[in-house]
Amino acid sequence: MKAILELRGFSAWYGHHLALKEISLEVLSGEILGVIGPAGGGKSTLIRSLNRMNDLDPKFRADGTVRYRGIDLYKDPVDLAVLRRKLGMVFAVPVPLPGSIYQNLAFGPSLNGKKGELDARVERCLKASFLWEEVKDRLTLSAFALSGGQQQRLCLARTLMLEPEVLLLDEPCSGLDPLSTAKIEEALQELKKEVTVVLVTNNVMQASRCADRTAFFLQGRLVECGPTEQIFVNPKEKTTRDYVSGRFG
Amino acid sequence: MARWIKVVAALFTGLTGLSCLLILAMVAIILGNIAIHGWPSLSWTFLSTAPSADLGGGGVFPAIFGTVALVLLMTVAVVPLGVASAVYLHEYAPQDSRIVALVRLALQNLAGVPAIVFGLFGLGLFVRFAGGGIDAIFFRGQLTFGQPCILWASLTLAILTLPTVVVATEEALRAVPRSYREAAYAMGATRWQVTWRVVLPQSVGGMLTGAILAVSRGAGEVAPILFTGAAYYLRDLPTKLNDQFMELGYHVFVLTTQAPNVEKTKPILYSTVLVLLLVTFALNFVAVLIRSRIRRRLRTT
Amino acid sequence: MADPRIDPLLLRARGRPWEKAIEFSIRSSAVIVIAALVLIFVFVAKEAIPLLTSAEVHREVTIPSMIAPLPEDHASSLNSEGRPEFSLRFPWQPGPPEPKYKLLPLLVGTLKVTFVALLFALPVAIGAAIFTSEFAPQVARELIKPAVELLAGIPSVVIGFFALMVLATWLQKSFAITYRLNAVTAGIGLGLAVIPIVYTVAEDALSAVPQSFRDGSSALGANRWQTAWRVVLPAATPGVFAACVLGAGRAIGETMIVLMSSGNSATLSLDPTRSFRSFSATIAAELGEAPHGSPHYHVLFFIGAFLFVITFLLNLAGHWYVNRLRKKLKG
Repeated sequence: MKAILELRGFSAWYGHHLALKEISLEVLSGEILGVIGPAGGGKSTLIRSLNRMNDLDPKFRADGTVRYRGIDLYKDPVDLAVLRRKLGMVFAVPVPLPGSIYQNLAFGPSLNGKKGELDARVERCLKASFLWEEVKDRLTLSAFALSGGQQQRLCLARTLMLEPEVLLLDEPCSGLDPLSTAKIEEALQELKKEVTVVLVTNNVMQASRCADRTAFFLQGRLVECGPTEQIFVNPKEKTTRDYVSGRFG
Repeated sequence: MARWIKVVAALFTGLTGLSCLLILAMVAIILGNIAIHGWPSLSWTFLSTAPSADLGGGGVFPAIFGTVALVLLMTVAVVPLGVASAVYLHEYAPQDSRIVALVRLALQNLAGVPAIVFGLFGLGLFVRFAGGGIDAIFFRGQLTFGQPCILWASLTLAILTLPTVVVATEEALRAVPRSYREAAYAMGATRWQVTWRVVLPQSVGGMLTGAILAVSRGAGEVAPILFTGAAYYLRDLPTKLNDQFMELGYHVFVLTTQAPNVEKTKPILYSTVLVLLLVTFALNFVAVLIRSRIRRRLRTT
Repeated sequence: MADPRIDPLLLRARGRPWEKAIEFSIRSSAVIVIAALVLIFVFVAKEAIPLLTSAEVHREVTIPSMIAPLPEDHASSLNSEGRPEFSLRFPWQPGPPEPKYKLLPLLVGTLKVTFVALLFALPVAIGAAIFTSEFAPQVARELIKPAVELLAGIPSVVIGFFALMVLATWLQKSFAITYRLNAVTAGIGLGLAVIPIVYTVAEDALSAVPQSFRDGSSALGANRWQTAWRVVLPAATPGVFAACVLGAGRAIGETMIVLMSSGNSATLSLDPTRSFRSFSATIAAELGEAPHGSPHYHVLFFIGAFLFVITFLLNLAGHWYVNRLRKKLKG
């Protein structure tokens, strides 16, 4: 499998605080890459650096290389709007925008000027997020009327409407009930066929369930990265072993 | 010793409480006095007819019309400028830039400039400089815009009420949760798209509040329009931008200080003041209602 | 590497032109705000400059001539007994045949009415602020704050009307004052306009004092007033001082109230029960009759520029103190 995203010696700061230290990592096309580690380890900073969402923080500074399809995302003149459509992000807390379910889904395509025949795409994305059956008759209702788990699946569907190549999921199931979590994990397995997924998760078990490969971050450093089974059963580093076995967290 | 302290404490309580009562009493007296003396003469005829030439009778319709036209023009000028400034301060400018500090300083001080100085400014910049320039370029020197008129008066008031609109709009912008903007950016929106499609639609309440407060203030200020367009007796209503106009506040001023027979004009005077107060307070009330709804939403998000 | 002609990910030269235009207008609105303040000063000062530079204007009036008194042997300096009187040596009479522009009566008038206004407004507003923030139950707060907002919403022309029609008569009857329109009448009216801003800023400052200050003081056995007087008020001093400064700025610049209830007589006297003239009222009363470009016209603009500078400095000082309070209470 080819690498779709490549980091080399990538470091990131918020002001004087060093959040990521010289990360070198590959994301392979078509895989689900799990990113695990305790709080403060730099997981969120990592995926937000991939679609340059960190640019919104005025104190953010980056060094090193992030390559996507051969383009250096920090040094080449990249159109951020296009980048963020190719690398779609879902946040930890569901953020439905004011409006109906349909309007939320149509928001992404409408930014690009795409109007008209979205119904087919809406149905496809809602099906892919395992939300279609529950909302197919209520598309004009307010998005805020949905439950937490439904809202998060809506956010997933909303991101899928952009037809991204990579999905960046920042702890998407935190705060969701087990049923919603299971539905999202099931959706990811289906989506894997078409998109690459980077899944940041606080829940070590989730990584072991979903991810093909797993990367373990601790205090801004990439400790270890490899096939999920190897990370969990036979990790190379002692800290990895301690973390996945729950000795600290 | 303890008794002395208790006496002093009681004295302080009494004095400060008295201050509160004094404020309440003064507001009640002013409003009550105007309501009692102004209400009897208030009638539909009064509101819809023109005043008689000797200022001793008739109605205030031209003044109402002039005030409405004036603040309408003012709103058209001040709302876009104020909203754009607030959007710049809150959405576009890097937060610790020197320009932001300067703009905020300018707004604070703009709010403190005496109203009569605004009048001088309106006279100097708008009537003479801009108006004279327009006359020279477009009307071959003929006096068209280089004189006091409703256009210049409304622009002067627009600058005066600018801080009000900016403050109210910014408050609304701040109420929009940051997560909305993040979600939009993450879907590939540009800064303008985020502002236009997500932030501004959610801020309409604040913009409305600002506009209404500006209108209420603009309807009441007389000093800035003394030399930029207000007149006390005009036969015709203002129909062109370079017409002069009658105005409620200015009408009160002239009736109070220049009417030859004070006793005769007293009822009309009081009614005019009452009309002005009712308009001002109605606008303020609506603005406060909208603003408290915004603040309630801010607390629940 | 990637070819910008083919790869849509890379920024193409044209970008989004109409969005750039909108962004430009938004940025320029900020410039317009700053420009407005600057232009106000520029255009007012512009018409005042001939007072410094024009020889033609200097034939009638110069800045030193506005300050210095008339010589003792001048006809106007003499009173009915033929002796020179101090207050007659500073006439403000812009009319022909011999215009005289002495600023002192206007200055004294402005200071007189500001003094009366602040004497009335500051204790009332600050007292009410102390009462509502330290002592009053919620009910009083729900009553006073709306009342102050109502007061703030009353246009100054209405306050001037009230001062002229009601206050003046009442004061004259109650205190047997000779002149109905004077600095006391105008001062109280002005004070009514100043109370809202002083109350609001002072109350904000007092409320900003952390509750822990008060709790700590009560724990040491102080009653509510000792706490207020010895702990809260000192902590909020920069804010309360700022309230006074901002109130003074408002008082000096206010026009309509003074114009309507001062009697508009430019006599030089320290007696607050006599009619007087203030700077702002002078501009309002005389600009209509001063021919464009005449020395009188330039003098009035000069006074306007002077008012701008004074109120600007007072506002700057007031806001600086508010910021100092914020910093002081934060840490």
